[in-house]
This record gives sequence, structure tokens and C-alpha cells, in this order.
Amino acid sequence: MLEYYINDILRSLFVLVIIGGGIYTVLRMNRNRIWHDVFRQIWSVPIARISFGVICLYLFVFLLDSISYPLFKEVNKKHVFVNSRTLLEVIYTPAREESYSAPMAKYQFTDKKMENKGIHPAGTNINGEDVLMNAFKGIKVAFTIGGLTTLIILPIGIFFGLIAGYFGKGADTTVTYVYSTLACIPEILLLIALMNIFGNGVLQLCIALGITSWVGLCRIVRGETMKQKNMEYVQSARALGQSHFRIIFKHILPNVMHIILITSILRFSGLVMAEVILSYLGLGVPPEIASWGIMIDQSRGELARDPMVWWNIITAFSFMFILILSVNFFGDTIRDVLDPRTRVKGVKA
Amino acid sequence: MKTYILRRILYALPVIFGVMLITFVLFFYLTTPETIARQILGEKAKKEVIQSWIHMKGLDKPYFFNTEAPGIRKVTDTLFIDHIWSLVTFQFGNSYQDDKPIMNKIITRAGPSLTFTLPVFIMGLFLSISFSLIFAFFRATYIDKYGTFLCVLGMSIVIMIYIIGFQWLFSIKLKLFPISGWAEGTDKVRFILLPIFVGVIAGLGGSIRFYRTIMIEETTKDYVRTARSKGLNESLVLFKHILKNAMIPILTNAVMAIPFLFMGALLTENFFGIPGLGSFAVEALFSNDFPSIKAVIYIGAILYQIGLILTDISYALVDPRVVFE
Amino acid sequence: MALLEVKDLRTYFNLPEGTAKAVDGVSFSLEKGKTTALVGESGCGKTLVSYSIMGLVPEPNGFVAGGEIMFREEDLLKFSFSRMRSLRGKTISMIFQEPMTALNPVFSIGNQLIESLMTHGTGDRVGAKKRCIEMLKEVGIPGPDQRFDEYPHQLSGGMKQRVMIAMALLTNPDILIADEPTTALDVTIQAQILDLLKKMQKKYKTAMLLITHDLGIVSENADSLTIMYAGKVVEQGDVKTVLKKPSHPYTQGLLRSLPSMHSPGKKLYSIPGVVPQAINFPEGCRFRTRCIEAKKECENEPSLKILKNKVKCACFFRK
Ligand SMILES: Nc1ncnc2c1ncn2[C@@H]1O[C@H](COP(=O)(O)OP(=O)(O)OP(=O)(O)O)[C@@H](O)[C@H]1O
Ligand SMILES: [Mg+2]
Repeated sequence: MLEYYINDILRSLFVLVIIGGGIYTVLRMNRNRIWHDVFRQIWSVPIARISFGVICLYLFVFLLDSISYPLFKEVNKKHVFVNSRTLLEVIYTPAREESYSAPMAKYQFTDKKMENKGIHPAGTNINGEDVLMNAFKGIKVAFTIGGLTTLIILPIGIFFGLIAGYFGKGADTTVTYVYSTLACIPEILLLIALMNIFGNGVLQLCIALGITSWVGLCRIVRGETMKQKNMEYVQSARALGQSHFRIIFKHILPNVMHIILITSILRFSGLVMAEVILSYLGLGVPPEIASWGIMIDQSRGELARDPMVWWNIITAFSFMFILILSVNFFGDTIRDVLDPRTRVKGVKA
Repeated sequence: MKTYILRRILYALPVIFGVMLITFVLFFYLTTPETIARQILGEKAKKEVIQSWIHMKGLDKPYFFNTEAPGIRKVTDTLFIDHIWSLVTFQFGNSYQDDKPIMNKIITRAGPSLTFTLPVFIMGLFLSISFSLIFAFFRATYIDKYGTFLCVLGMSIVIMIYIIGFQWLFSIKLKLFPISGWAEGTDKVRFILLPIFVGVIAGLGGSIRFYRTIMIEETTKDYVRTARSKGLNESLVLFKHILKNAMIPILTNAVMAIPFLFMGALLTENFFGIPGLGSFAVEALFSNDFPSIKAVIYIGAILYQIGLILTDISYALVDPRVVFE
Repeated sequence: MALLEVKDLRTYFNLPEGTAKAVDGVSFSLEKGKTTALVGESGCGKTLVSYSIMGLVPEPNGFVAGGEIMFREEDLLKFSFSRMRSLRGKTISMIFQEPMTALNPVFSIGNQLIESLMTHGTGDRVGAKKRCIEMLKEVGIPGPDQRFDEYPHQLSGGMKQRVMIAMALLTNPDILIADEPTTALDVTIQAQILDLLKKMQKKYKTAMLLITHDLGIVSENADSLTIMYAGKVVEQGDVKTVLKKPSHPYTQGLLRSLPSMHSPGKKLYSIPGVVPQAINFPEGCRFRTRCIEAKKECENEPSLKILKNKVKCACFFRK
């Protein structure tokens, strides 16, 4: 019994630590004058504020859906584990029906009355599951895929990018060789091949996406590092006899941080989309996990039915669209603020 | 020029070899012949059937070193060399699906892919350049603002939604086009129009925004001010000075995509039943046809390298600053 | 009668941090066949003044907030866009500060030169080409026939600057704005270019606005002088008078920081502090943060008043 508790607590803690770490990092950065200025500028753009709010809402649901506790049933005076119950399920507990029902409908397609008096704001799907709940659960999949993959990509991409860009020569040749080889395999084909080999699963999907998408980050970090390497501050640090390690991580890394931030945020929406596409191909998350890709996949034939079943796809699409849109707008604003190329010329320093 | 291209090809060879290695690791190391055989023949297949299938496909050889073979064949009669050799000579063997030569299939499948991707490419390029020019011309006005807003909206929609949405609207609701399918001859126009439309629309948002960024970046360059200081009118400044500079990265970028037109588009082809290379890859995937997937990946890699070389050449052709060394 | 008169010109920038008053009340005039010099430290708004005259203030956040630019009794700032355009490159030409980037890299020199003539309807293509080659020769480019078809990256910096000058002079403008025409060049070429400008000016009776850091150049080439500091005029008058006996503390500092021929080896003076940013210019006299004579009064804004020696100066302590 204890092990189930530990399991759930650890899982909840993991998510809490990651999100807490993110918030802590932002707060720490905010103490730096330059970053504080950047944040203020981002905040002054209305669309950035709105999309940040939306992202926070999604994060909140994600958090609710990630904190769970085990549920037991008493059988013969013994506690038997049933499943993990998340906070989200505590707050919103729709009944399971038999089959389709339209949003807010009183009857199912089978003409049966609803299980309990509760109505389904977004209807139910072919298995009688509440569509809105599935869409909420999809948030967890999207954030897990996006977040976990980013966690895989970041260290690999940053490390190899820095090494290649800073040391040049052999290190550079090796790293560029590896990533140009990977890059020349069409991304979707490589993903398909990898998922075919790994099998379905969230972790598998993250690893496959990680393998295909660290390349982009690495390339960008390498390019930026090469630029920074010739800057005066690096030269003087070198002249002072600082170690390479120190120069790379203390001096160069903070100066390429903004590029990493922009790339990861804008990549996030790409990862969410990739999950949907792969799940549609049957290569993403296992079909029993509710994800937006699976919902869209289910609804392929539903639009041609009579009566038309539109709520499944529309709900999944809206949830996904709003998230990706917010991430894109937010990322765009950050890029406009941070990237001098797209920024309208500011005051000369 | 000739030596330059030759050198570029030489550079590409190690990368192609790397791809061969990766496919080897993917399809021989990470998947054993046993699992492949089971996936093809079914879980319940008898042991002898599986063994004979493996032997027939030549998958029972050792990876790198064949101790049983005589002489030089100790090294050559191995999975690895077979694999490399089949790729180098484009002898991909037969498909696991229907035992027909893969190379023939790829060649016949490239045709339908092209009939779909070529119009998408040309129309997409034309439309996105035109729109980005309009946005650049009206930069910082409401046209530009709402235009880019729409672009981000368009970019944030997964391709499947476009496909399902347009199929529903044009095929189910309006009954203008068949929902999917394929026909030979002029009849295929009926089938191809909707996928082309979807392909163009789905790609528009991203490329307009990308091209617009390039053009806006050009508008801040010093030469634009010089051109204005000569009293040129705005359209001459935009269509002559800015456009030519912006077209260099845009066109060379587009050149990169040309070889990939042969590869088709995975999802669109699959949804619309276009018998192109994209849907070939999906079919191969669903039937665990590893040699076919391998072949498609390999050809994709080669096309990518060709794209890179073409990009370099087109740079040298359109940009007076770049010369072949 | 002045050909062009800039009156109380104000050019501002809207920035996320607020409004930057980069040019804030600048007045001067240009006269036919005469050279007016505009001098000041980097970032004081010299280039911006010339952009304002040309109607080329960087969009979208730069704008002219006030003032008049009178040309033949009309205000250029009130001109319609197309009317202003017909003036640019024909009546008023400008040589830009950075010759390295001012030419379009993907068009040949000839193409970019001829454009100017074609726009203003001066002659046919063949005639225009002839005129361009003539002009290239006149500004001292060897082998103008073949240079005509070359691209900017094939020319050296000095050559590019000459092309820019040729471009500006092609249409015999009434007014020529030369924005630091020699900063990018080495000293020997500097002298050549300045001589060239002088020669051209004499020939075509052009009114010239010469923008520079270099007081040496000013004393040799200019007739009148306007000294700017942080977007404002601090001193203005006849070149000889101002240079011989500078009034404003800033001008005095500038002159003292020049290496002198008479006392070589002496340590050079430099004005203490740095130029303030346009976004946070100090209130009152903008120079007071670096001025050795600064007093409490300087927190009020000094106006430009005429001193005894007929020089205009913006300082409370000069009579
Ligand atoms: N596009 C712009 N956006 C915001 N501020 C600008 C812009 N261009 C110029 N400025 C500001 O306007 C002020 C004047 O700039 P300007 O280029 O006129 O200086 P300058 O006197 O020509 O300097 P230099 O001698 O270096 O050429 C500067 O403080 C600068 O920061
Ligand atoms: Mg300047």
C-alpha cells in the first residue's frame, strides 16, 4: 500500500520540482537588471500578457492533473489498489456513458438516458467517455511530451553546441558531422522508424523527438557560440588564464541563453504538433491515454456520420489550437524583444 | 564550377555513409531479424517458418564477421556489407508486402507525388512571396499587423485539421470534390485539386511570415535609404532594391526544397489516397516493411544532399558577391 | 537670402522607454555656394538633422515633432510625400556616412547611378549612361567605363565613397548634404575627397551642409559653423570667429582637445564624462553634467543668444 503512495508522491513531486524550478529560474533572472528589463518589455505587450495568462491556465490544469493519490477498494477486508486519482478528477468527475452523446444532451445516441444526471459540456465519444475530460487530460500529455523532450534536448543541444562552437577543429567537425547526418534524414521518417522500433509510449516518444530535434538547438547554439568566442570579453577572460570550462559555462553560456530560450519556446509548439501527428499515425502515445492526437484520429470518420459527431474533433482542436497559438505569440514577443535582427533599431549603445 | 560541384559531392559522401550506418543500427541492431519475421508472419507463426523466412531474406548472417565463410567472404558475406551494398547499388531488394522490387515501386510512386507537390510548391511560393511583399510594403500598418496575426493563426493549426476540415467542407458538405482517391489520365484533376489546395493553404502562414521577416530585415538596410534619397518611388524601392536582396535567401531556400518534391507529403497523401511516395512510406510502416522504409530514408537523405548542393550553386548564380572558389 | 533655413527643428523617437528627443530645437541656414558645417560628438543628432531635411527620418518610431525647414519660401515638412520625393536626389542630395553599406550589393554601380537620372527624367538611357561615366571620371574613379558594370563589393571603401559622391552630384543639386564624407577614409584620400567636393561646389554653386567631427576640416572648408551638443545647438556663427575665440564651454573643450601643431607632446585635454543617451538627456542645460563651469542656474534651460562678437551661444555665463 505504501508503495502506491510513494509512487504517486514521487510523480507529483517531480512535476512540482520542475515547475517550481522554472518559476525560481525566472525569479532569479528577474533580479538581473538586463533580464528584468527584458521581462518588463515583454510584459508591456498586451498579446504577450494574454498568451502568458492562457499558458498559465493550461499549466494549472496540468498541475491539477499531475498531483495524484492512490485510490483503494476494500475487498475481503483488504485494501486493493484501484487507480491513481488526480486532483483534476476530484474536481471534475463526469460519469462514463455507453456511447456518443452530443454536448449538453440529455440522451445518448443509443437513446438511453445519461448514467447520472450530470451532463457533458462537450459530449461523449464513441466509448462514452466525457470529451471535455479527455481534452483536459490531453493537456497533461502535451506538456509531458513538450516538457520532457525539452529536458532531453536542452543538455545535449547546449553541451555539444558550446563544445563545437568554442573549440572548433576536431570537436566541431565531429559534432557537425553527427548532426548533419541526422538532419539529412527526413524528420518525420526518422521519427516513424524510431517509434516503430521503440514501440508506443510517452517516454519513447520523448526520446524519439529528442533524437530528431536536438539538432536544431545544437546548430543554433554552435553558431552563436562561434560569434561570442571572438568577443572581447572572452578574449580577456582567456588572457586572464581562466579555464576553458569556466569560460564556456560562466561567460559564454549566459550570453547565448536568450537564443536557447527563444528556440525552446518556439520548438515547444512544434513538439505538441508532432505528438498529434504521430499519435494519428498510431505511433505516438498508446491509444488508451487520452491525447489530442488520438481524439483527432478517432474523429476521422465521425464527421461523415449522420448525425455528425463534431464535438470530439472541435474540442481537441480548440484546446490544442489555443495552447499552440499562445505559445507562438508568447515566443514571438520574446524573440522580438531579444533578437536584434527582428527588432526595430533601438538606441545605439 | 565543375570542381566545386565535385568537391561538394565529395563532402556529401561521408554524410550519406553516416545515414547508411544509422539505418543499419535502426533496422538490424535495434530490431532483430526474429522480431521482424514475427511482425511480418504473425505472432503465431511456427519456428521453422520463421527460420526459413529469415534465411530466405539473408538475415541470418552475422553482423560484421562471418567465420564460416571462406576467404574474403569472411568480411563481405555479412549483414553490414549486404546492407551497404544494397544501398550503394540502389538494389533495395523486394518489399515485404508483396515481394515486388522496391526500386520499381519508388519510381512509379514518385510520379503521383510530383503531380501533387509540384503545384503546391509553385503556387505556395508565388502566393507567399506576393503576400509577404504586400505586408512588407504596408509594414507597420493594420494590413501588416492583421496579416501577420492571421499567419500565426494559420501556423498554429496542425495539418490534419486542415485536411479533415477541408475534406468535410468541400467533399461532404459542398460535394465539390471526391473525398479521396486517385485516377489515371486527366481524370486525376478531380482528385488532385483539393489536396493541392490544402497543401498550399497549410504551408502559407509559416512561409509568409518567414519571407516577411527577411523582407522587413532588408527594409532596414542602409541601401534602402540611399535608394530613397535618390527620390525613387516606394514601389521601385520595394520591387527593385529590396525584392532582389530578399529573393536571394528566399529562392535559395526554395531550391533546397525542390529535390524533396519527389518525396511527396506523408499525411496529405495518406489522407487523400494519393499513391505517392509519402503514402508508400506510411504503408511500409504499417506493414513493417523495413527494407522499404530503409530505402525511402536513404533516398530522402540523398535528395537532401542534392538540395544542399543546388542551394550553393543557386547562391553563386544569383548573388554577385558569391563566387565559386 | 538663405536657400534653406532650418528653424527650431525637433525630431524625436518613440521608444519603449519613452520619448527620445534626439534633435531638440536646431536652427541654421544654408546659402548658395557656401558651406555650413555641423559639428558635434557622436550621437548628438547630426545625421538625424540631415534625415529630417531629406524626409528620411527612420520609421516607424522616428518623427519630426516640430519646426520648419524653409526652402524657397516653402516648408519642406509640409510637402506631400510625392512632392518631397521629386525633390530628393534632384534638388537636395545626400552623401551618407557609411559608404560600405550605403550601396545596394546586388546591383551594379552603373545601375544604381543611372536610376537617379532616369527617375528625375533627365535624358534618355544612353545619355544618362554617358553622364554617369562622365561623373565617375570627374570624381576621380579610374577606368569608369568598366567600373560602371562592377558591383559594390569589387570596390574599395574610398572608391565607394566616390561613387556615393558621384551619385549625389549627378543631378546638379542645389543643396548637398555631406554626412562625414571622409570618416571612412585614410588621410590622403580624405584631402582628395574634400578638394573634390570643393571643386564641385564651385562649379555648380551648390549649398553644402558639411557634417563632421573634425574641426580641422571645418576650418578649411566651411563658411559658417553650428556646434551641436545632445540634440541642441550650443554655438553658432562664422567659422573664423568661433574657432578663434570659442564662447561656449563645450566648444572650448572641443578645441582644447584638438592635437595642436604648436605644442606637440603636450598631454591632450579631454572633456570629462560621456555623452548622455538621447533617452535620458539631463534637464536644463544638457551639457551641465560635463561642464566645469556648471552652477545651480544651469538647471534652467539656456536660450541661444547673440553675443558681442555676433556669435550665437547657449550659455548663461557668456555675454
Ligand atoms: N532608429 C533610431 N531609433 C532610435 N534612436 C535613434 C535612431 N537613430 C538614431 N537614434 C538616436 O538619435 C541620436 C542621434 O543620432 P545620430 O545618428 O543623428 O547621431 P550623429 O550625431 O550622426 O552621430 P555620429 O557622429 O556617430 O554619426 C542618437 O542618440 C541615437 O541614439
Ligand atoms: Mg551620423
